[in-house]
Amino acid sequence: MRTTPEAAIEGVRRLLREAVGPELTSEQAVFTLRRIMAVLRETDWNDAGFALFRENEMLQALGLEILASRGESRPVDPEPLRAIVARPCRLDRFADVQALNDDYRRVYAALMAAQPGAKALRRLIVDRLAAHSAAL
Amino acid sequence: MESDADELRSGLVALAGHEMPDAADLRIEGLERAGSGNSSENWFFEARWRRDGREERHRLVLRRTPENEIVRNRREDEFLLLRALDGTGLPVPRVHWIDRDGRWLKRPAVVLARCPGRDDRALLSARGKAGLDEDRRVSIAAGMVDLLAAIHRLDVAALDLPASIRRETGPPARVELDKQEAEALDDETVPCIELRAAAWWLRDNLPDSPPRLVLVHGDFRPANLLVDDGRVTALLDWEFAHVGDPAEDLGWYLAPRYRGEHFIEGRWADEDFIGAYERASGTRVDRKAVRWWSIFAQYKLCSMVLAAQKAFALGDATRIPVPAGPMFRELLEAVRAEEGRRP
Repeated sequence: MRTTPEAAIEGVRRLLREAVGPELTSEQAVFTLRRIMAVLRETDWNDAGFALFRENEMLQALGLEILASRGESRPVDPEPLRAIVARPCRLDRFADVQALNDDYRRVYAALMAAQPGAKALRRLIVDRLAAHSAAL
Repeated sequence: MESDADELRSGLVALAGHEMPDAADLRIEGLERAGSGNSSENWFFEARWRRDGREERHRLVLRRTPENEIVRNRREDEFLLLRALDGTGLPVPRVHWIDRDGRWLKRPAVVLARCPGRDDRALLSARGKAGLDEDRRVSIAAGMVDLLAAIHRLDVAALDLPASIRRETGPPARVELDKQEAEALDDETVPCIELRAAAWWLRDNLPDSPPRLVLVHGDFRPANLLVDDGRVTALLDWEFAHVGDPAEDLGWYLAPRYRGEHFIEGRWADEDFIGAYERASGTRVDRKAVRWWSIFAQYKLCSMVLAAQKAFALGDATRIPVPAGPMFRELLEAVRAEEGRRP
C-alpha cells in the first residue's frame, strides 16, 4: 500500500501534537505550533496538484467564453487569450501545471487592466472565479 | 552569545534610561514573548526604577515591528495616536517610551502600559475563555458598540494626530482603496486575479463620502479587546487607525471572515449591531456603504494573507500564513452577492 501525502501529514501532525506540543513551555512556541497545525490541517494534501489543474481548466473555459462573447466582454486584444486557451491543460509535471496557471493569471490581469470600463467582463470573471472557488 | 531576550532586556534598560534620565536602578524583569500579534511582535515585562527617592513598578508591553513587516505601519504613529487619546476617557493603554528607529531595540518599537484583562477572540462565543453566559455576552457586544460610537464621537480636528493618520486627501473609500490596492499589487509574485477582480468591483462602486469624518480604529473587533471579569478594560491594536468613514469600522466588524466570531446566534446579528450603533451614535447608517466597506475589509484581509505568503515563501518563518483559498472564496462570493442585489 502506498502512503498518501494526507497520511504522511497526518503522521507529522500526530507527532507534533503528542511529542512536541507537551514539551513547549513559552506562549509564543505554543502559538506557533497551533498555527503550524492549522496550516497542515487546512491544506488538502492529496488534492493540491489536482486542484490547480482544475483551476487551469476553469480559466481555459472562461477564456473560451470570453472569446465567444460579444459586446464589452469581448477583449480589445484577443490574441494572448486565444494563444493560452489553445495550450493543453493536461500536463505531467506539477511545475508545468503551475507555470500554466501563472501564465493564465498574467493574461487575465492584462485583460482586466485593458478594459476597466467593461462591467459585463468584470461580472463574468467574478462569477466564474466565485463559482469555481465555491466548488473547491 | 546574547539571546534575543537578553539583548532586548539590555535595550529596554538603555531606552528607559534615555526616556527617563532622572530614573535610577532600572530593572527589567519577567520579559516574555506574547503569542498573539501579527502586525507587531509583543513582549510582556515588568519594569522597576527609582525616581525622587521612590520605587516605581510598572507592568508594560513592548510592541516591536516584526522582522518582515506585513502590515505597513509606523510605530511612531501608534505612539502619537495613543498619546493623543490619553485623557479622552477611552480605554486605551498609556504610552511610555518609543524607539523610533530601532536605535535601542534593533527595530522600531513602543512601550505601553499592560492593561488588566485577557484578550479572547471567542469572547462572544460560548467557547470563550471567560465562559460568559449568553446575556453577558450580548451585553458585552452592546458595550462594544457604545465604545465604537464614543471613538467616532471624538472631535478629530481637536486631536493632535500625525499627518499619516489624518490622510484626508480625498473621499475616504477612494483613499483607502488606493492605499490597499497599491500594497496588494506590491505583494504579488504573480498577478492575483481574485484580488484584482475584487478591487475592480470596489473601484466601480465607491460609496459617497460620509457627512462627517471620524477616527476609524481600523481593526475593531472582540479579539482586540481586553476583558476583565466581564468588563472591557482596553481596546488594543490601533495600528490601522486613521481619520475616515465611520462605516469602515462597521464594515470591518461585518467582514465575512469574522462572522463566526462577531455574532451570537439568535441574539446578536447584523441588524442588532447596526441598530445599536445608530442608537449609540445618533446617526443613520448607510447599509449599502457598510456592505462596500465589509467587502473592502475582506479584500484587505486577503491582501494581508498575500503579503504573509510572500514573506513566508521568501524565508520568513516567524509568521505562518493561513490558507488563502477560503478567504478568497468569501471575498468573491460577497462581490457576486452584491452584484446580484437589486439597487
